[in-house]
Amino acid sequence: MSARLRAGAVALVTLAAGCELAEVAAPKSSDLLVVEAVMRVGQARQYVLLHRSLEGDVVRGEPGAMIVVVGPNGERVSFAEAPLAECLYGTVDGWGLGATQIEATCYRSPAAASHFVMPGAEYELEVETLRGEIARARSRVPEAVDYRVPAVSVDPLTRVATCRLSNEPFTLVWSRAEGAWSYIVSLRLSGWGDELREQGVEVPDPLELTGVSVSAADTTLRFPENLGLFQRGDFDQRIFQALNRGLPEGAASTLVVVANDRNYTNAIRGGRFNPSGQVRGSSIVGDAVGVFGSVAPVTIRSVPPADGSPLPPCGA
Amino acid sequence: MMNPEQSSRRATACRRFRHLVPYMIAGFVGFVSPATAQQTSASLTGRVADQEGAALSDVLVSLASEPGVAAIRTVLSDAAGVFRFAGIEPGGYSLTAQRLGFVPAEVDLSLAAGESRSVEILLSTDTLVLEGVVARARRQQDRERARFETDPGVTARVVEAADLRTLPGLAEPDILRAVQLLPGVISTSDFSSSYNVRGGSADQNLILLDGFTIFNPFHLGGLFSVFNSDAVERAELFAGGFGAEFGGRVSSVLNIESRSDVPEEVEFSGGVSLLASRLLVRAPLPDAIGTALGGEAGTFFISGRRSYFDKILKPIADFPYHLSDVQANVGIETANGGRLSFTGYLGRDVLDLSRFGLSDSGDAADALRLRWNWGNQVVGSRWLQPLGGGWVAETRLGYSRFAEKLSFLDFGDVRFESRMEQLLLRADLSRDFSNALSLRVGAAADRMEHRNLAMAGGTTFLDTTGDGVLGAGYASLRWRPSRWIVEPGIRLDHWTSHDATHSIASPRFAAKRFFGPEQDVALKFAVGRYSQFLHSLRDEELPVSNDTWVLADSSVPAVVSDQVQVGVESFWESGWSASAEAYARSFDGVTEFNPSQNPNDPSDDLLSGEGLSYGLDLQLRRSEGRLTGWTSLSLLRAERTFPDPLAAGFEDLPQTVSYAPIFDRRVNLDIVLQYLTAGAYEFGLRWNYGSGLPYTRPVAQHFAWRQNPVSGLAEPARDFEGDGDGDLPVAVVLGRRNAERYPSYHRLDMTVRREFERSWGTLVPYIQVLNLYNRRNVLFYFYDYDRLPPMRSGFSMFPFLPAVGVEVSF
Repeated sequence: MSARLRAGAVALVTLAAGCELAEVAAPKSSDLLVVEAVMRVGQARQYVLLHRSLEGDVVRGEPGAMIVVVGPNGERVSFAEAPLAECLYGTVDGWGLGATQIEATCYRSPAAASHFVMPGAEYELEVETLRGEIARARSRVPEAVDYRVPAVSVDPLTRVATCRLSNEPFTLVWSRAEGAWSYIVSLRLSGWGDELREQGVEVPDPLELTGVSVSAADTTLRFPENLGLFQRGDFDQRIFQALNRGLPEGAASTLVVVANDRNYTNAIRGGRFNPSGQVRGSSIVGDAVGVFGSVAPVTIRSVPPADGSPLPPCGA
Repeated sequence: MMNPEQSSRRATACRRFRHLVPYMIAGFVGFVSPATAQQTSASLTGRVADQEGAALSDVLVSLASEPGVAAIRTVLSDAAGVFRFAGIEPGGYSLTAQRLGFVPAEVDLSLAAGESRSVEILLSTDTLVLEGVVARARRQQDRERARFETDPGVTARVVEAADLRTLPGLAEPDILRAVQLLPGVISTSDFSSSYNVRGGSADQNLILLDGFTIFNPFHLGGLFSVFNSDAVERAELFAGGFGAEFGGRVSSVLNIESRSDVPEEVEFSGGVSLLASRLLVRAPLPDAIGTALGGEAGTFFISGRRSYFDKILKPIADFPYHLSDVQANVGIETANGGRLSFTGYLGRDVLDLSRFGLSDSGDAADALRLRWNWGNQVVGSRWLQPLGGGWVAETRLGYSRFAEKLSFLDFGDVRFESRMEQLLLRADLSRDFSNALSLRVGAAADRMEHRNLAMAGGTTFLDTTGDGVLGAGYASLRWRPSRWIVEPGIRLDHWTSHDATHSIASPRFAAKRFFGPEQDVALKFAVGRYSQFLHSLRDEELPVSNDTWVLADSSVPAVVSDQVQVGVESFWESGWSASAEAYARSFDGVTEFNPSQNPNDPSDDLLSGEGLSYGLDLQLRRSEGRLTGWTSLSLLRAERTFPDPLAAGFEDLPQTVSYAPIFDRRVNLDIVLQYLTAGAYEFGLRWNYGSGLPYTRPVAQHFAWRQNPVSGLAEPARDFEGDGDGDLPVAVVLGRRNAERYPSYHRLDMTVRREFERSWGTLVPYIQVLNLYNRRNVLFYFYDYDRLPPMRSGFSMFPFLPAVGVEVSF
């Protein structure tokens, strides 16, 4: 049963007759090291976030740790501390976290090891903190993904193509990535939605919609109507109805298909039911929990140039 | 997490237990010394009917050496009114037959050595008004007493329809909630009518309506059972020690029997509760129909029930849910003492949010609309026919289906469907071979099919289809030397699915030794192997959910359970009875969802594991007098062991996890009292105590990140709405699985009924209160470690919950 259905069941129970129990102090939380490390093919530098389990609304970091990723031929890539902003997409202030303090520690791979993550390779992670905690993990990177429909060629290093996506709905097809346990398809859309806004619809800009495919063999998706699967309760339905008619004219879009390995799939899909929240399948062994996963993305950037020159259509 | 040594030791214990079973059977067979069947004894068969000649079932037929003394043997007449005594010493006897509503009959007879006598007893209706509670209890004890005297191994518990009235249900009487009060049975949540028996999973309970399977006998995810209490005559739970004729599930069999008594004219009864209104119509079957169907006299009923909140609230609001069910039964007495019956059931739940969020103009643009339907359909026929020469045949042919469908009206790409179907054919033959020896043989063929589909956004998350045929045959011999009953048996099950076959031979053995001058105390022993070829994927830790069934195939194992039990039971003339039974069970092939299943590998969706349970069930019951009831105490220890998929690849980690399952309630005490006043009041009281159920405590929470798919950088996890209310996206870190226990559970329920006799019929208003002293029994704890200090909150089960209703019959 999906997490959504489970949540529905719990909500139903609550509505039916359940009563809230009085709040009491809980036992002190275990102070755990949390590793967030997802290696990404095509990305020059790799990032690892270390933080501690929550104590109140402070996400404490773990500075001074030794982090090494060991490659298939025994090559060792040591990570160094970096400003937190380098690891993050967006800003902490922009996330609306209230009084929460994010003090996680960001580590990045050296420039000398640019693009060291290779499709199909296996990597091991070693983490040792100043307080003596030792954690390890292993991940096999999925093979590279390519677009079949639209048939575009991507830069072999960055895995990015630049072209104009069709405004008509179409079936997106990509190649099977050996070793992938799932795919995430994500569309970032901006510069559109004025008509909807005039109708009172709140249209985020940018709007990011995600679709998923489970299994290495599930390599098609109706674009763009199959996107936003888990977000249909989050936005006004008229947004999805508009997208069912195809990609809006004039919108800037970035389309990414990401092949995920076992560990990252286990982390994002959630594990067994627990009423206190989502349970993530940890892939870290030793004195930590978290994820050491790997992904292989391929991107189509469909952003009209500032000079107004037309982009070539994808698949032309 | 367990260390490898502990895990391995527990798994080994399960295997050792299973290996012991054949030796135990062989040993016990050797222990019972063979004896020659007495060739000089007599036998007596007969049929009980009313004055119209219609067969009467459940008539207590007793054989005594002379009038007024304690009976030597007691049996109940079967559905064809037939009863049998074999192995009787020659001599003079007093034969009595009694049943509620009829004047008892007594026949004196003399049996010569080797004689096989046949008698017919006609009972006339009794116009006396009996003390209802006394008469009611008598019948219940009659059924259990008959099992005591004739069945060597099986643990049978009976709940009669009359008991049901004073056992608090939820808003109205509920047979499955009544079953939860029996020894060896526990419930894990007030919100569910589902139950667990002796350490078995809920999907290991076979639930039958007149002998036909009902796969998901619940409304609203388990809150109410599908059985209309007006249409139920009794429920009989077989909690262990099953004979060879039982198959299909490993933990228990619950047979719900529809009403079969014959009304003199058309009768109506009904009720209105806070949940639903219901109506039952019963009548003798018109002769023309009975004759057309090849029979003689007959009866039929049809009952319907529907919840009505959606209708009542319609002027104010759209209440999106309703349930409905229809149950029907036709019984026909056939020539030569046989009985043909037909059973039908149709139930449906509808959660309709298709108008959810509609504006006055009908614009649904900003609403997420859905429709969710589920329900059971059952149809079956049953033919019981004495064949002559001592043979009695019973044949069942039936079809059962459970289906569920969830659809989103605005998104055709989202579908959830689940379906389970069974077509069954059973034939059973029984015969008294000699005075002390009877044989029962049978065969069965079931075709089953399941389909489960979950797809959304162009992706199929679950798509399993399977079918198979279960062929089964069994034979059991019942041998009654002197004070013993010994029953060896064998059952063969052969399951053929689309890609695998399982053949499982299940030897069974039971023995009982009677003690005392009245033979009213018995020691009993039963051992056997049981199997089943289907599982429900329902997560039992969720208090409300529907069953999603899958059949055994090459990647889904069959469940094989070896079980042994030993006990003592006693019945006294004063209406008291007591029993104590100890048991141990192993379960091989239990399943649960694999949280790390590889989407590329359809064979690893389920983890296959082992289970072990052992315990002791005690019951003291009083069945006669104004004050009746029972006390049952169940002691249980259950364990499950599964592979740990997250440890795969790390050889230095334990590869299995053992834990106490959600239904491991170590101590469960039920006290049930029913009291009928000299006036027209009836009181029911039930108190339940249960030791705490296991749960997995979160030991920490951490901020949940994800990698933004476009940028490759970290951001708060997707479910986080970022509305600035300080509600953080968190992931939970769990401690050792089910290592903690909720506080103990206890609850007192009460029912008061008052009967008003009127010229036109009977009116019974009732008040029912669940959780009389408003105990806050824990359903869930929620841990919040993102607060300082960390806090624990949660939800309780039923609060103080009063309900009123009224029943009418005329």
